[in-house]
Amino acid sequence: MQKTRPFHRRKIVVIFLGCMLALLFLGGRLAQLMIVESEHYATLAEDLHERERSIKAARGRILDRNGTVLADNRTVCTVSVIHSQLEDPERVIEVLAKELELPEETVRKRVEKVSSIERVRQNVDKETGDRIRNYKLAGVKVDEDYRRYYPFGSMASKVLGFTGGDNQGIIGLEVEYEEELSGTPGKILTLTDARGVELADTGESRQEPIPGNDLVISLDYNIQKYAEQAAYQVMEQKQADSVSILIMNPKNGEIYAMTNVPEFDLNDPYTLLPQYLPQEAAGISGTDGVTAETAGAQLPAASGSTLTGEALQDALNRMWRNGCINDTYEPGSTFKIITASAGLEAGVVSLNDGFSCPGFKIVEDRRIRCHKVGGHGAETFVQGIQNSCNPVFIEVGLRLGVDRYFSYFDQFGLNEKTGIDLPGEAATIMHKKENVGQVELATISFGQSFQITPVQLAATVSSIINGGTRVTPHFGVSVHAGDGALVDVYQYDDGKRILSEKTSETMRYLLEQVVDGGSGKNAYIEGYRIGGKTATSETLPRSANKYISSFIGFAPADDPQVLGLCIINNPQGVYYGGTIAAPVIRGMFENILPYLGIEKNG
Amino acid sequence: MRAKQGKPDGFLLAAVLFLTVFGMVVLYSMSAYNGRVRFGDSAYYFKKQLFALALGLAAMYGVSCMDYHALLKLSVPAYLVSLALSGAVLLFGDAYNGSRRWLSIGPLSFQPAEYAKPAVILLLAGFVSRMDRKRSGRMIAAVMLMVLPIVGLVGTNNLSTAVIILGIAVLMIFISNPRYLPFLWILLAGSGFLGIFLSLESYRLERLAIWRNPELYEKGFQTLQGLYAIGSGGLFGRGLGNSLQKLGFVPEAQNDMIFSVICEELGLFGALLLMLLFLLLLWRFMVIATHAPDLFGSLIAAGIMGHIAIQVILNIAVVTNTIPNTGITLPFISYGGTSVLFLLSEMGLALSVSRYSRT
Repeated sequence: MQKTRPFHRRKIVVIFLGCMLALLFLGGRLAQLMIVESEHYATLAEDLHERERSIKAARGRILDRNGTVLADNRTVCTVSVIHSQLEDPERVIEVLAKELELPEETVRKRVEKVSSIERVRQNVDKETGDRIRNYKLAGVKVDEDYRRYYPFGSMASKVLGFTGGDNQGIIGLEVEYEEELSGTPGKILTLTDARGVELADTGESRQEPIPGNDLVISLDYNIQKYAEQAAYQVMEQKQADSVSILIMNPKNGEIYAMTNVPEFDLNDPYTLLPQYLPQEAAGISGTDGVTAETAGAQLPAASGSTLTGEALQDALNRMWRNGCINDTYEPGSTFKIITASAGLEAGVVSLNDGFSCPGFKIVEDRRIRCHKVGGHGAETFVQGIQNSCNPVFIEVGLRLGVDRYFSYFDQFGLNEKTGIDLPGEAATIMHKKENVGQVELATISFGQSFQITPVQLAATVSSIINGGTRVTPHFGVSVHAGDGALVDVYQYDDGKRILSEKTSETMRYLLEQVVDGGSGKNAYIEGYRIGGKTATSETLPRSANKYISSFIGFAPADDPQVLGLCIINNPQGVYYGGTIAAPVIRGMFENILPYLGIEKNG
Repeated sequence: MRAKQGKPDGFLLAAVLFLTVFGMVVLYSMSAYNGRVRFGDSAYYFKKQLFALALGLAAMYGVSCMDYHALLKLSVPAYLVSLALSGAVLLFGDAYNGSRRWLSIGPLSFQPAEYAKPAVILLLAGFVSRMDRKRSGRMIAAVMLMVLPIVGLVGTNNLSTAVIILGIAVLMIFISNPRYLPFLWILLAGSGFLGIFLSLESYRLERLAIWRNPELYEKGFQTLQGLYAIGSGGLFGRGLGNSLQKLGFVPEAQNDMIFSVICEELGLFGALLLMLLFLLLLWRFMVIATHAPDLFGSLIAAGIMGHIAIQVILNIAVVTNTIPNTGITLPFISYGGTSVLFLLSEMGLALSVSRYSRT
């Protein structure tokens, strides 16, 4: 046997030293990983371990001016299964299918899916959720959640708007006041193992959600309800496409009611009303919804469920539109209020100026007709407005001239949006000044050839009759915390003066004459002083023979506290604003004037 | 000139006992989750390992009491047995996780590859120490030829262990020969061979690509999870038992990747202390090897040193993604009954050698 020789020992030492070097190097590598790159890997690891579950914040409620809750929250449950914690999948499938009223196959697919957490059904009633929880099934999770709930269904649907799956506002005030209403969602941070099972002993850090604030709006539940009833009534009577009613306070711009019937169900906003089916499917009459024959040919159901993709979305968007704000129309004769105000303010006309109406007026080479074919004959300016005589207003417009007319148009705020606190307000569609000749000026003077929104008309007329200051029409009044504490009161600056006090007073007098003995006499209520103006305009294209009838009125005429606008789209049969729209506002005023505490004067 | 018989190396014994106890504590911590999840028993792996440890300590004591010279005659038969067992495992072995590495006898299972390591150390120590030293030039080739069968047999289903056996053989030949230069050629030839070997199969090249950028590959999952564990340890770690990565993120946390979870729980200091402990162990082997009364004893101790060193270095290198991933366990710490049994037997061998000192 050999002995161990010195070179053997040397080589053993060499190997040891080599190993020591290697271990030193690895120690360095370790230090690099655990000090220099520690944060990088630790963050990645944390992302892996942490599960963040968000807790929805309760959305703030929307209350009317008297505290009636218009938009509320309901507790609902989300039922999910955690695959890795299931003990008896068959029983889970059986129970969930029964309680959630889902086909067994659907439930089976979700229960048997290998995922860390699988949602079986959302928006389950709290009672059902509690029942499922009481089965104490391993691996079944019932999380409580909030869902928007509108106690009055379709009331003020296009004003309030609704919310989506994450409780975010989709349209209307729900969008406009999203920031106040939404609150701040909370968080539950938990550590989990690789299967997604939460670790019991590591604790969880919880960040409580902050509920959204309550919004108090100027809308009045009773006035809104009455406005909707009145609108539906006249829509049915006149087989109209739609009817809009807007009731507001002309002094401060608060809107008491705004409806555009047909309204849709806020608790079920994705179900299309028959009226909003595409034209070709809606049949010829258009108002009865779908007749059996025409529908059978193209679309079988009236619910719109057969519409898909873009077509359905278009139809829904049309249903959700707030006609008072999102759409413009030719105001027609109601706009004579603006022409009259401008004429009086500029001094180009006075109440007793004499006019003559032969039934038309020649402007340049055009013969512009009055609505009364035979003409109104000789009349004063007061009679002209009572008669809603076109030649009178053409004359006033021409006396003002394009420059002055446009400067008043601008001064009255018609070129700007009203600034109402609802999304999607449409802008005025007006001629460019350089393109306006005498003929165009003549048509503008009696409210044709341009378009404004109904809310613009209401706001402008409010400003003209309230003493002459521009108001901002609005809903938002104040914001309260969940416990009722006042958080914020919205300030709407006193608008700038657009008209002298004197002209405003004259306009109130003139418009009272329209109701007292003129075209607006159907709005007259015994014992009240009411002012107003009718309008009947033909929609484009003129050949379609479709009309828009409207009436704008206010009371009391000497000190206006409420202003109402009613617009009837495409009424069948008699379509004169004075005949069909004025009585709607009279009906409204008969009810709301006493309700608002405005006394009859002897 | 037989040296007088003395006491076994107390330092080595203490270090080994400390390592085994430490290993058991850490193993329990690492395996409790997997044991609970798979077998409903947190101590499942711990208990199995404890049984192997008891056997191993008995074997260590038994071997350390023997005169290691008695093993000289057994070295060739022991090697033949390892060849037979490694052959048998190819035919009758059980496969876990897709590798056929275990022989089962009743409830016990056994990994022949672990036995092959001490068998090769004994064989080479015996062969080299009896060789005519004038013809040591040709010896290199001869030794290589001797170990090739076992390397081939083991390598068919356990490449990592085959590489370890080959490494032990090369280290032992290196010691037996006074020259340095030929080993440089062996090193260069070895790397060249490795390069060709790797590029022959695309899946081996893929392994290299994963090594460079583990986050880009699905198969880099294990490596990446190990790095997450190491990185989240920081200086002092999360504390024993508090690893999150062992909760199913690092696959088989009790096996090859155990060091990464040690880093996570005990931090850089704990990990460096463990490495220092291994270094102390290697130092004792060196001392025993250089003080052995004859070449047989020296080579046994040196072979054991080589074995432990290769496994520790490669394991840590893999876990830290310093080299491409290959399955190598951390001695005394990773889960594995056969491994701990034969490691402790080797320790017994080293202790036996330490009883005979040349002075």
